[in-house]
Amino acid sequence: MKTIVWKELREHGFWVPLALAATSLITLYAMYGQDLLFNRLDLMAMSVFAAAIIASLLGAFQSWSNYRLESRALLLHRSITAKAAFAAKFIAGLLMHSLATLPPLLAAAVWIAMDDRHTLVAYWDEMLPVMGYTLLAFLCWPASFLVVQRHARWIGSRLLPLPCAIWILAFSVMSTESVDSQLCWVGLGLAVFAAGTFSFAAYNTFVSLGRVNGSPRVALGMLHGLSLLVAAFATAIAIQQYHYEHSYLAGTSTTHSIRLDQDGEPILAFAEFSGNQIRRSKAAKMSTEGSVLDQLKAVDDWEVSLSRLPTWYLANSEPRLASMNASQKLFQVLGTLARRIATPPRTADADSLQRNLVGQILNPKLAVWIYVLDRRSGKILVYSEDNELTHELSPEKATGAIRFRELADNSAWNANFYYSHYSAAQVVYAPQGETYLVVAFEDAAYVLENDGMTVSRFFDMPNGTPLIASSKCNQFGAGVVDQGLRFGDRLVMIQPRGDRERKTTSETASVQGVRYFQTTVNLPTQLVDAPLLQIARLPGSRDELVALATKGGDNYLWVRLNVAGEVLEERTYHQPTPSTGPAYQQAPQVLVAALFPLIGFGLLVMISLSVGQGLEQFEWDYWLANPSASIAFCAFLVLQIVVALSLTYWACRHYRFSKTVTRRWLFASLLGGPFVGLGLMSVTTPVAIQWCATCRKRCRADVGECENCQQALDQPSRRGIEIFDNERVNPVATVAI
Amino acid sequence: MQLKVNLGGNRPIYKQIIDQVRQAVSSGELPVGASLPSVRQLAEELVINHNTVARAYAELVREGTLESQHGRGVFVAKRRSVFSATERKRRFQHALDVFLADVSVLGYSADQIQAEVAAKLESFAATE
Amino acid sequence: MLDRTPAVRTRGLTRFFGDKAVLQGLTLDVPVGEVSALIGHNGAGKTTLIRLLLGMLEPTRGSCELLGCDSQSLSPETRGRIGYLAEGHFLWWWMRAKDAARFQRETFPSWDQQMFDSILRFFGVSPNDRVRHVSRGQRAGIALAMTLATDPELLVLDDPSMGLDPVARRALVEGLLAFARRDGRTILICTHLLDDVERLADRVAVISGGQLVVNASMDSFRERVVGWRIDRAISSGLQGIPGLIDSRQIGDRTHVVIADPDDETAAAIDRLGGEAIQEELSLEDSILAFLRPATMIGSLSHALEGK
Repeated sequence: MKTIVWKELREHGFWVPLALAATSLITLYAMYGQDLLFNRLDLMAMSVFAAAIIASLLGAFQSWSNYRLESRALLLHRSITAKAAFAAKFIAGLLMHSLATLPPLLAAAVWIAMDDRHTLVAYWDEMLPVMGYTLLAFLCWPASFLVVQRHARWIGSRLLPLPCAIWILAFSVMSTESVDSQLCWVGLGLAVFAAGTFSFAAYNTFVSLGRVNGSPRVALGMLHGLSLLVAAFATAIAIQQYHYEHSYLAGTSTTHSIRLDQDGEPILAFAEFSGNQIRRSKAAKMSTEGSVLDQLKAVDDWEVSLSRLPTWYLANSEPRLASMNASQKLFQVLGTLARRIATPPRTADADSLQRNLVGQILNPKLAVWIYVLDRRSGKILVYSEDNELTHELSPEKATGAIRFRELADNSAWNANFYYSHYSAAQVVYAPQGETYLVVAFEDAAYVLENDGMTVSRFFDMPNGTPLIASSKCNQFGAGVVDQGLRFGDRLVMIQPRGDRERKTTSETASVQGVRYFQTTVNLPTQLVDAPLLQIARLPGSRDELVALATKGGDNYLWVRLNVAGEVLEERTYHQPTPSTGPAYQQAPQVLVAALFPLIGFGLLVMISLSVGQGLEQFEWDYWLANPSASIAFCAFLVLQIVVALSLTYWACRHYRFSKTVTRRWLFASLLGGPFVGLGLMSVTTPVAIQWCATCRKRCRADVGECENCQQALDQPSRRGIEIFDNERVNPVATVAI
Repeated sequence: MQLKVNLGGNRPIYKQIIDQVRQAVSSGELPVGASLPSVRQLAEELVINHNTVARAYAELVREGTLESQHGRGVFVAKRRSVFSATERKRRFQHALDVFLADVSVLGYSADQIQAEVAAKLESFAATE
Repeated sequence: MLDRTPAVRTRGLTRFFGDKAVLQGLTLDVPVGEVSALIGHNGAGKTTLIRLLLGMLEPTRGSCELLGCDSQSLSPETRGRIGYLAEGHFLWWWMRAKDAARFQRETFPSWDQQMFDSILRFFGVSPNDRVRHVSRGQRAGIALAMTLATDPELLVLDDPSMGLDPVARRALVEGLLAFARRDGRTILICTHLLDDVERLADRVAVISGGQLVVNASMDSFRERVVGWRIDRAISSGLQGIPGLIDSRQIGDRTHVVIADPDDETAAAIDRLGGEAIQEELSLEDSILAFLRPATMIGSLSHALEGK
């Protein structure tokens, strides 16, 4: 095996320096080419993409060099097992892949760790996931190996593993930074599954010169079916996009939403849009008796004012944070292992999250300033547009983690908060035309004032309670935008006040001439778990508030409460909000029906049931309200099923599957749509068919007997005369000499 | 004695060897008791399969032209008749046919041929 | 005499590519200790047969064995006892001769370095020569040395003389003959060069159109296939001759090739009229009679002259 690894390296090693040069350039570009801010996703995307190309080329070269019989026999026809030969190729491939892709990333990590005077805001262990996914890109190697080795009837189905691998890789890379972090695990699992399947299939076809039997056909077919499905969806989305762009302005849509009106009462607001412009709107007071949709049908009260109370919308971000943390645990393992590697003393003892991006701000000279928190020095660093450090701001006790404890303390992964929208909220204080940046830290919330040139602590965070939401207050037509912070069962509302409204209560703080009036509200139990909470001060009252919470489905809870959390009044409403999408959505829905397999609908229904908050498409009312769309949808769904079943049936007949196997595949196609049949066709070679000499019918050639007449097939009609020695092996008479 | 084989010809190689050995023995080029190259040596010399040589030798031993002495090699045997009377007659007729066909194109008259043959026979008898 | 399992044994070996049969019902034994030549057109299925034998391709139906071991599951030990010389003397271009030796030494248990060196010397190759720099004949020498020095019991050769000059070709034949002289060594050789077949082979097998048409020892093949020359152009009636293999009209003569002629054959030829002379056939003519397709009636030179 050692010899074969050596042979592979000798044969293909000269690609490594070339590839290394390319990856080095890419790393340099990703780190210094564009921006002050190191964007890990950019580096990851570029690096993984390059690694995928390198792995694909290596896989193609390494299998192509043994594609012909002569070279294959030279490699395999010796006293070694084919498994060892494949393993040697795999190891050599992985070695070359790593040598070509990892050194630039390692060098970058070491450089970041050694020198903290550079302007780049990055942490060395951010490179670990990049390296991990770069290595994962090696899954393209068996895929491309498979493409070269595997015979297929059609070049398209032969090529399929490669786009499939690249798609899975892209998906798993994207999922690391996606909003829904559980996808990270799905992406990773899918990638590992694909790598295993491709490797096994590549091994089997390598050993048997393109033989398909014996490779994991169901798994391979699944991957192929999946990537075809995604390709179909991509096409559907492209069509939708085209459709959207061309008919957007012509389409009208309506929305219903539930809000608090000026008196603190819940209203059902209705708006009609043309494109993305509100054309007209009206509203109806909600009733506990039942739906008030009927009242909106009257045509006389269009153009109602939707100006309402200043209301905070506070979405509970706990579940999202929890899932993000879970996905980041994976990289903690890598991070802890990596910390044992000797690093320069300056960073070895320090937390890896010494600096965080706070945000950026437009200063009075209309230049963009970038604020970065350096937690080691406890300063906020201000960089100019040219990436030069222009100022260092020292907030009072600004050390410690940013408020999201898990995210900040334990994660070696999500170092930059550039993407974490909750860590800083930009607050505009309109009367002075000034812009403030409010930043929530572990110990306190700070505001960047004075055109962003000073940092002030204005709110002490309660100890030990995670911040689950931070929100600006929405108020149509008014300039003042306040800040709301939600901790578990508490809500803190912070409002800047002008100098004239000076208050000297314990809850009032004055910073640099601007005051922040802060109110802490204890939330009653009904509201603690609400995923979305609207809350507003009741007009004319200092202590009373109104809150509107969704309870899932069409149920709403309206509560009048005081700051102590006592419920003064409580009402529940049931109000459907049947919004209609613009006309342009109709056509793509039909398209989706034609493509989306039945099992997908089942999954969507299950998800919407478990979340308790369904898409409107899954409610009968929607279907009854749109009969033509519903009929088209169903027709296309039926058409899809018919196409899927006939495709699979044809394929099963063609491959001469038994009735049981055919039935199984038909069932799978019923659930999985046409992609099951296509996947099946992409991994199955047709059975050779011949004419039976006895019964003159077509029959399978791979069995000894004709399936129709049970006569032996080996009765070749020879032409002419043959000469055979029919006697037993006849060694030549030898003479003793 | 120098054996030669002609590849691609109408006669199989082992028959060519047989013909040439017979010719050499009957012309006296190989006297009785003369040793022939070993199978291996001849095969190497002619660059042919040793089985072919062995087959030719076996045929020659069978018809009595050669005899094999175990462990020592192959030698020209004392002449003895191994053919039946009709076979002898057939072979003689065949040789005569070939000879006549060959010389007829040379333009000799029947008398001249008879004279040449008689002279040849005399010298042949003298050497023996 | 010897009751050994054949070195190569196929039973009803059939292979389809798509719906086309490349090999059909091939039943062939290659006895141990002999040289068997496999002859056929380009594309007659020889390479497919070798792929099947080496287990690089699976048969559609039927089976094949090498040294008594099924080709589909050749163990590394068995593979070590089988030498294969690829078509065109394929070698990795980056190799030096000594790299080739290292590669073989570490993957074959019975490697004979001395034999390797002496074959290289014979072909005038030094151990440091790179494969891509040596001549075609020298490359053949390296390939031959790589194969023979593994001391195989069975040697499978795919067109070993292709592209070689006469000197290299002769050296190759000498090498193979020396190999064949050793006890119990079997050679299966695919070639188009009938001179080499004549020198080397004990047995001859002819494949035509995916089917085996000849499988006989060289002697019986040459004895049983006989030619007749008829001094008359005959357009019909030839099919009546028993054992007719092939017929060709050249000018006003007809050449027929017949298997196992007897009195009935002679009578049938007599009935056709014209003077008929029996003639011995060269190996080439005998084999051509089996390979020539039905379209090639007469000779090309006549066809080109507009006859």
